[in-house]
Amino acid sequence: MKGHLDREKIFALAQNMLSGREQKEVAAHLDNCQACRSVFQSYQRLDSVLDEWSPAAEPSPWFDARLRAAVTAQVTQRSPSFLGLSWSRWMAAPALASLLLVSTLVVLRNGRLPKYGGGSGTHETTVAVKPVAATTTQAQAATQELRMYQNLPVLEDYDMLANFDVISELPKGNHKIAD
Amino acid sequence: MAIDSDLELMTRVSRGDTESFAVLLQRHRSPVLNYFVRMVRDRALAEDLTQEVFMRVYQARERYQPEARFTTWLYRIATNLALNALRDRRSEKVADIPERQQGDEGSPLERVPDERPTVEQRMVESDRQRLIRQAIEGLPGNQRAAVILHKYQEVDYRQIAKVLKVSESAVKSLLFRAYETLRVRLEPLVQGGLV
Repeated sequence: MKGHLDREKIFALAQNMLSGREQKEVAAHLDNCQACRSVFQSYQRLDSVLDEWSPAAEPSPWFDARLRAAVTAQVTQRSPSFLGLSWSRWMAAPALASLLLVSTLVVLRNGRLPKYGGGSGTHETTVAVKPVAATTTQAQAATQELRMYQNLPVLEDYDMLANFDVISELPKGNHKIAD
Repeated sequence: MAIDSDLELMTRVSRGDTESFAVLLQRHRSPVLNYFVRMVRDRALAEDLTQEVFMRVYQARERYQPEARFTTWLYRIATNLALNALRDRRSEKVADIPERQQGDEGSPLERVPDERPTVEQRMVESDRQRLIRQAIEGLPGNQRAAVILHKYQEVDYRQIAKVLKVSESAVKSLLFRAYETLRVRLEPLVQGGLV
């Protein structure tokens, strides 16, 4: 090897970065070249100097406790969940499903969504009660009124609603509905 | 062997074994803490970052794939955190300067980032150690990480390459440039002065 070695090559020897064959070649050059050997020795001295920097920090006494608390908090946060959902979401799911089921049943039974509030003339026509003749008896009037309530979409489930106070005040017994 | 043991432990952690996590923590927390102390200097920040590393390891336990050494993974997380912390600190210092200028308070010297050692450091640090620390702290982030991993954490070149996500020859080049800078900055110590 003629001339001087590249500094990077000398550094690589000092840091054990070279393969066996390269190592031998460079070492052989250093044996015969004072300047390159001096560079090599300066890298070795630098390494020794760097060894002196030893902060040697140990974790503080509360380090483990803090980390344990953080890990525990994470475990606790995750444990009540299943498939990534928290318990509150799991509770909300059946509630929502029940609501949807009830709504679907109501719609299927009615054939349409119930209409509330000030309706149009069309709706009123479908539930309108025919005028009662002046000569109709009181019992007939009650039957008519009863039919009117039964026809209102909102009072679809008559049997159930009949137990409500307002409806239970209606005449009972001898009022048969003639379809 | 310790390496296999780390992998075994981490595999067990990924299956929910918290005891194995405690063993890993006990084994690696001091080296990781020392890495951060050298990288960011601030002892309290170093401890926070060490905690963050282990929290991230724990959070990622179910996704852990034993493809590389456990320490490679550990130091990759640590290095990312350290480099981010250095970047944040630098941007904080830059952001601080106009604020101080507005009030027109203090001399220009006071606007220079405060690199003075803390009280704790002054107590335990010799002049030689201070010079070495300052020389290493003056290196760019990647070079600093490479030197600290290689010199103080005894991480091999292949691992450092994986940690820094560069080639092995790039690591050797980084180290050479870093050592050249250090050789100049630490000239008085290398030549045997300032005993």
